[in-house]
Amino acid sequence: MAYEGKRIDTDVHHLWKSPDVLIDYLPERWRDYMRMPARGKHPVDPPVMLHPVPHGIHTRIDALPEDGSPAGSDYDLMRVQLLERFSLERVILSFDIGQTPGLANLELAVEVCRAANNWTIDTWLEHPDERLYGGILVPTQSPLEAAAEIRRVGSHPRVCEVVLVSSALGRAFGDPVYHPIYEAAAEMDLTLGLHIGGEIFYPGTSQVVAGGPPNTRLERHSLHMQPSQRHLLSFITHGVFEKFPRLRLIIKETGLGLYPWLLWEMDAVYDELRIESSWVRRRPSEYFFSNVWVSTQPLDESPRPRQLIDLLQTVDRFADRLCFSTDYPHHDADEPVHDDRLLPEEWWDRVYFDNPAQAYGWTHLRRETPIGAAAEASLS
Amino acid sequence: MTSETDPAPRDGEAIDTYVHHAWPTQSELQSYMSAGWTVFLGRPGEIRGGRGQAPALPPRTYEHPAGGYLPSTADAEHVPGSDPEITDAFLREHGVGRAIVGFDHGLLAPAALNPYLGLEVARAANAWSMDHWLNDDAGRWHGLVLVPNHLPAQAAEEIRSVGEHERIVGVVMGGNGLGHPFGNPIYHGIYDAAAEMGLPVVIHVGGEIPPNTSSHPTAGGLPTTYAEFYALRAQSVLTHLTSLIIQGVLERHRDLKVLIAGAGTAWIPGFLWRLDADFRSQGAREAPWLERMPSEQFMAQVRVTTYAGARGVAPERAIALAETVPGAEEVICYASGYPRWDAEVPETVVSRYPEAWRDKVLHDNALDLFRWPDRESGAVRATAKEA
Repeated sequence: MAYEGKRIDTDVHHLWKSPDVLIDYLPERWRDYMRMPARGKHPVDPPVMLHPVPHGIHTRIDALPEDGSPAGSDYDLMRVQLLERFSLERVILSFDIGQTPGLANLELAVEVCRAANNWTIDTWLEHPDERLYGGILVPTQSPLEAAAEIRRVGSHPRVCEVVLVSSALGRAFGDPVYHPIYEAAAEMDLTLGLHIGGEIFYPGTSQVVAGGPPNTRLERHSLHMQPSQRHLLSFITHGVFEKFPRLRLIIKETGLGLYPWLLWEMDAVYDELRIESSWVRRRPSEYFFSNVWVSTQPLDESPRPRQLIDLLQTVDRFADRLCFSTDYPHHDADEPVHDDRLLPEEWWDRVYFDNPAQAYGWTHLRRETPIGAAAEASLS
Repeated sequence: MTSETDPAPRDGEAIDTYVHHAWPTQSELQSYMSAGWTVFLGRPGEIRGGRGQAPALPPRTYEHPAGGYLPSTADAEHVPGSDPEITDAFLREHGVGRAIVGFDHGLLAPAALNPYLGLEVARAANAWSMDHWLNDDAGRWHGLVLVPNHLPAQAAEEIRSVGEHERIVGVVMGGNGLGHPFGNPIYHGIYDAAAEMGLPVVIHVGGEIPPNTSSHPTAGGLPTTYAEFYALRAQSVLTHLTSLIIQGVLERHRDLKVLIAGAGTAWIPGFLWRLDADFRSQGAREAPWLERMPSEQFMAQVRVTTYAGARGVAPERAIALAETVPGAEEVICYASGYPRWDAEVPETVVSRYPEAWRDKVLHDNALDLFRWPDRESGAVRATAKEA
């Protein structure tokens, strides 16, 4: 049995063909700076700490375009491998590992974000394929600059998300220092897209896992949902959803199996939160169920599929928060058939379409209506 | 080496695998320390206004708003957990037979910035524990070696030395002084010693709570409140457990058992499935020394305390979660956590697990886990040493 309706993919990674493409979008001063070294260029990405991946590649090999450019940089290949294979109504393009932008130089980080956002609008969000929606990058090093950037480009009709990855100030994301970002996102009606992985970049002083640096990538990868747990609780502790009640947050690529534990533990400290944090007025799970969504990939593989569902059903209405995602073109991307096999049929409409539409405020979208005209043309 | 002073528990008696015990005054602990450190730390009143004693332990960065202990234990006269008779009365009231005492604030000794002080405090704490608790006639109290894990070679010595005591049933890793996950190869000598002595390793939450550990108690930024620290207290012990499994500690020592204490049990399914899935895709490349799946190692060698379960969860939901992992009934061991504020009594704990698991959770699993004085393996070890 396979789902045949429309889907919205909430986590797709796209990237420029080469750093030169991005550098050309920078102001002249920074273009010159990036090309100053006698050999090579200054990197537009922050240095990535921690563990090498085998052969140095974190994407599907078959997603590498023939011209040698990176996976996720070629629209035609993405169309064949993703958009046309799976009846996607919309995809959310949210940049790739590295474009986060945890650069140490604040001024450069601001300019890289502006350049990246101009590039994604020019290249992808004004593309004739109207299925392409996207996030924007913001320099978390300076929340006021970040807010200004959100207001600068946030009104573009196909900008739908503020990407939160690297917490450059080293604080969990709910910290009041970041609230100008959320004020701007709420004002522009953009969803916050919190993607795992930001703690592996310089210059954050927050740690990728609690308890000490893991020795292997395997250990890091199996634990790398930890910061997002911390960020979620931080949003609640510091009253982000009290200050901005209509703000939407989607948390991406965490896996699902630890959410019952997390929601229980958060609710269990409600009394203490009330004492220590003047902003907390509802049980943490209530904020989760009103303002937060969670993407599906990597969908947990319990020994028997039923075990995962039994686990998730220990929390009422958890399926209402789940949003389909593939994580294309990464090596551990989920094929939709994988989700069909693991998720109960009665969840499909919600997870594949209704919940993502809500998470992005697309309340006018209807699952029943035919897929958009541009999409139809490319599918025929 | 069966002890007549250590009778097998009567039917229906629970085993409490984690009770926090504490010295009533630091001066009592200092009587087990060298003259140099005793003079260095000083005594209260040596300087006017009650001043004159430096703290022997690193401070806790986060503490419960109401002070961190059960209201019934938080009187001005007694340091909570410092009076064996008061603790005994609590356990008696709740049908507990034998109990394991595993320090409280003292767990942080290995996180002292001065490694010599941390070592001295750990050694003194072990000597104090043996003198003041592990010699009761009723045979209730059993102990853990407080491991000065920040100096692994000295830690192994301490395990071999203190581990000779009949009432020592395991070792405990508390403060994380080196700031590395506990499966890091730098620590393997500690596990060699524990395995040699037949002692399981207890990992207690909170090892990153002092302000000066280089590893954080949470990922993604430090907690700003106690509530945040507490809700996420499992994070760092899950890093340690992942490390112990992937770095091959449990493969090197197939007889070695580990008890995760203080993190509750609701993380077990999500944790295990994720680690297995990642191991299937990445394990052969990075951890070729592993012959068994993480979940297989876990089921055979890892145990988890009931303490501290998420309060307020409907029992039927907790039971449904527990039942998603076949075999979990062999893994879960009752612990009260007394006298911390989140302590739990057997009556509360058993409601969160299927009724059929009751005896295993309250008694059988703990009986299998520790090196009890009346346990055959202890006798075998003693005989082997004589030979």
